[in-house]
Amino acid sequence: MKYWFKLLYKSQQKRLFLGVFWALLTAISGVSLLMLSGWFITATALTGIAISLGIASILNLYIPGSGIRFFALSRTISRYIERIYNHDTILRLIAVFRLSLFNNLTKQSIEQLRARTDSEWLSKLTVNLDALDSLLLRYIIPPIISVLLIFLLTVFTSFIWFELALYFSVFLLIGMTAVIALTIKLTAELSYKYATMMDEFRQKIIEHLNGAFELKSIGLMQQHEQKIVNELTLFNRLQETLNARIANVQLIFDSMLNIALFIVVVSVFFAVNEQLISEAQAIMFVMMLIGAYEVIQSLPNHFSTWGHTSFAATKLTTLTHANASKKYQELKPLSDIQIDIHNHIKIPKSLDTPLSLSIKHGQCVSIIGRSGTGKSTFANLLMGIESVTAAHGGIYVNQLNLQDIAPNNWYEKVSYLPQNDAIFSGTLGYNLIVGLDNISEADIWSALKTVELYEWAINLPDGLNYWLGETGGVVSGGQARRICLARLLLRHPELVILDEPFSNVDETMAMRIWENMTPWLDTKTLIILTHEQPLFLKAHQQGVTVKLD
Amino acid sequence: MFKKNKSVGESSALTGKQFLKRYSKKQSFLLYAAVLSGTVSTLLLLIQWVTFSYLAQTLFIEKAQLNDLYGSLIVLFTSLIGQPLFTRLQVHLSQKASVRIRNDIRLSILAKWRNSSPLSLKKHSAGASATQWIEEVESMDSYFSRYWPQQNLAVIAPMLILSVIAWFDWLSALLLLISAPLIPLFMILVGMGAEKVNQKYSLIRQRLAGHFLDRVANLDYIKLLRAENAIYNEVKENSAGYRKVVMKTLKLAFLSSTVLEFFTSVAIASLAIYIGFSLYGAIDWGPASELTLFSGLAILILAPEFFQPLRNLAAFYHDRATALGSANNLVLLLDNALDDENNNTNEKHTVSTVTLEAKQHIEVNLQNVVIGYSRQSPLPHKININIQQAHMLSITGPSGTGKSTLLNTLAGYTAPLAGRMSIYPQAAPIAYLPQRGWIKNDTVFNNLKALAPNATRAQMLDVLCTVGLDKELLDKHTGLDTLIGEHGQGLSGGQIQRISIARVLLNPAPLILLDEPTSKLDVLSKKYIISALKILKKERILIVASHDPLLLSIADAHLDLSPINTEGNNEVLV
Repeated sequence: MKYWFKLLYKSQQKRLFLGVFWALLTAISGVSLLMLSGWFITATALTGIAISLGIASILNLYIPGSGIRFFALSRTISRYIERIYNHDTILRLIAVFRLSLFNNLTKQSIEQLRARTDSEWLSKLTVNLDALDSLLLRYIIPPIISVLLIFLLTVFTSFIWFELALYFSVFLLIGMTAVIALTIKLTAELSYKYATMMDEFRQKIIEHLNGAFELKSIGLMQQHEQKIVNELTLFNRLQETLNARIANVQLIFDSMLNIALFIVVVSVFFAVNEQLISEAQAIMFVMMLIGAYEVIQSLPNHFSTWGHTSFAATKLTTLTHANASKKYQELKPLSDIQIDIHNHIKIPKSLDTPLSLSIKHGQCVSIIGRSGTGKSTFANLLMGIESVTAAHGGIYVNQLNLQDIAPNNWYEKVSYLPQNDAIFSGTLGYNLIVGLDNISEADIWSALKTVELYEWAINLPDGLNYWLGETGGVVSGGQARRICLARLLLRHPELVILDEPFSNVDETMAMRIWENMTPWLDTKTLIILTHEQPLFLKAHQQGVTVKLD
Repeated sequence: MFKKNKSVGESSALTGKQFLKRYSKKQSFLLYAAVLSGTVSTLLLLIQWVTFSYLAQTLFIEKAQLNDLYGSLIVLFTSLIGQPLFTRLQVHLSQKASVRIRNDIRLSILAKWRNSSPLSLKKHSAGASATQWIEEVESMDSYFSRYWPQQNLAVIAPMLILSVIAWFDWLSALLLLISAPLIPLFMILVGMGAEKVNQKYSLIRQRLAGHFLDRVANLDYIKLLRAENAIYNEVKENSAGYRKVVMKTLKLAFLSSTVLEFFTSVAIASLAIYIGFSLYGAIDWGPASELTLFSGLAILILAPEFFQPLRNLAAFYHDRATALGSANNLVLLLDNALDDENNNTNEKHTVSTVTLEAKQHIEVNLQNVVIGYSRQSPLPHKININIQQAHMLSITGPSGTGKSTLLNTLAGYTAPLAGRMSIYPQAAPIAYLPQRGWIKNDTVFNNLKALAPNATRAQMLDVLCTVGLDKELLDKHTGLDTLIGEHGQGLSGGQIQRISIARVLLNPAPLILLDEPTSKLDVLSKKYIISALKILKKERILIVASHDPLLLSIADAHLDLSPINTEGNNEVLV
């Protein structure tokens, strides 16, 4: 959690101070309203009686009256400003957290990223990021406000009754610290466990549902469910214990505060009897305590989520470990690629016969294999997304081992069309030029013409500004494929790898697009992976063919 | 059939609201007990402050001595001690109710899953279902443990306080009574405004909110496009944009709680001034002349307590919205999973206890059976099959001709659209191996145990040897406790398929269905699977969808689902 606290302090220092200021103003206004009101009615009551008894006394009613009105107003207004201001800070903070997380994630290799970017992982990421809200609103502002408020009230009280001020502040500060420590001590471990169990449930439920096909027909669904049910019983018990502990800490704190209140009541009454303080002051002190309680009473509740937050923080911090940077070799323009693969479990053919392939610049290689023959694995190996261990061969570009070439350096030379399409949630134009600078609109339209999407795009309600992806327009599988192709056409690679370029596109359309693309392709080395012998290849593109079947 | 369907349709009209009500009713005793504790706690609060005011009056005005007031001091002390105790009790009771309710809901979801066809479970991603079971049910916690009792207390507690104040001074009570209905009124007005702003920005907010996750999900693609830096800046800009949009809504939304704050503050202020002026003698009309320090102080201290339950309710209000949202989703899951008329699939009650040695007669009989996933699109064949024990039937046909559909029909996961299907003995356990085998992130032992609960470790080792996995899979030191699955070592398709076969060998059902067991497999895995199938074939019925010539060669009969074959009825008798 330290990492996130530090990040918070570093990025939001100024806002933190102002946020505390507004929160403090709210607290002071609230307490002052109560104190002044209590003092006021006691003073008026006594003066009223004195007057009725014929004793000449004067009490200015208007100054305290306006004071009361002022505090009523300032409490409302500062509370409103404080909430707005601190929520703004929270949103800024979450943005900072996101950026830091994003930055760290981009440093990971594609292999690492693919291993976890499923929907599961994403929803966990959101949950954990949300949990970091607590840092500011629960763990920072409330304790700071409590301490400052106690300090100010002590200073004020000490002008009237020094001993009371001393005991008041010592008691509240110790009580407050103790209750925060106690809350964390009693609940942090359990609430961490609670978060862990929630996490494990996810895994168990998914497994259970995925197993339904095999479990149900043989009649073992209920038996398999039993583990989850047992776990649920434990979970319920854990939650009850956790709830009970939080409530008990609250009970202890409340009782302690109430006993202190009783002692203060008796002492101020006693002090009035001894004429140490006036009656109005006595009531004012009691009201002060009521007001202060309202602020500090929620501390145990605030700190009861400590374990949960620390779970989230730990989970997120593990993502911030960047890879050790490696020394890479600089890649010159492509001249040749040498591929050797043997005994690779995901490419069955290589179990029988080693695959060896040498590609010269400008050549066209066609790799053919049914699904399951390891086509995509082959592409991944070539892209460096999956690494080849020495036992299974190696890939050499210009005689350099691919593993010694910086990924970014390699991606600059290669444009790769993976099997699955990625349509970003954004406009059509954005989807085509993502990551590129200085692309003219004319270039975009020409790329769309090449993939035969010009007609479609020009008729869209917003043209290139048409929104795609979630919360936007839906594109068919074939359109998505062609958009991804057009995205490549706007780039200037030396090697092009196309994995099933025309899946979901009908044959005549494929032929036409290929015809349009050929001039662009002719200047490049081409590796094309397909299910069956690609019919769209031109005569001069019939280079090397590798069969993985 | 139709009638039954209709009643299902009616019950699915259950709303999220009714759902929450139904479950809170089940724990109404605990929940009402919680409300009662809350009420007692409020009463103690009343006693506490009235006593305090009384003490102030007698000491300050009537100049009594503290020593003479032990009785009142004891009452004050007792109520100060008792009040948090009853609050604690309230929390205890309502949280207990909430835990029980959520347990009930989770168990009924599990039961629902158990009784639905795996095919209909596939309609939602397992991850989404897990989220429902975990987070969505959990999000109802605060509704039951906080909101529900509070909505009752928000009526009871202010009423109690108001009646005490009225007893002291009816004008003050009137003032509070008038302000009370104004609060919800203003909150509704502000809420409507906030909703309007919310809707105005809803699309743009959704897009901005989704941006980060969308880009993280596609980060691999982004790296391939070398767009990391561009996207980093985008995330930065979008987060700022998102913040601005959200703040616009929040500025209005927070106004509603400010209304409450405002009324609380104004009520205290105006009461304080009214009481002060009355006590001073500046107001001499109405009940003002009868006010004393006792009544005045009590009114002043109780006034904020009058608003407190309402403020709590407002603070918990979004708990209700969250719970309702989750409840609406759950209602769909719990009622609508039944909508498929084909899903007449109650789980077989008998846990399979068939062992390798047990000889049980089994027979599968299909007469003029038409299959398909919906009545609107039946597949063209009329299938006639009669298979006896110790035979193997192979099913062939291009993809999409219904091989898997037929297996699903035989497994009981979808009902035949026409014709008669009988499996004797009824409810015989069936081992079904889908194309992609099922692997748990667990030890080898637990992976086998899941489908063969009665197998011993020795049997497991034996069977793993039969399918050639003992050397490949088991770590020397941990043996059957070796971890496999995502978190352990990655498994090849062939290894997964062999684990599935090992499970069947450990707990062989009389009828075994296999969907393409050897496609995409290496030669070695194929060899092991075929020899395992030969063992199984001796005493059971095997039905295999496959194109593998090796597998077809050990089959006794053959069913071709190719479209060319639709002319005549398909008939296979073994």
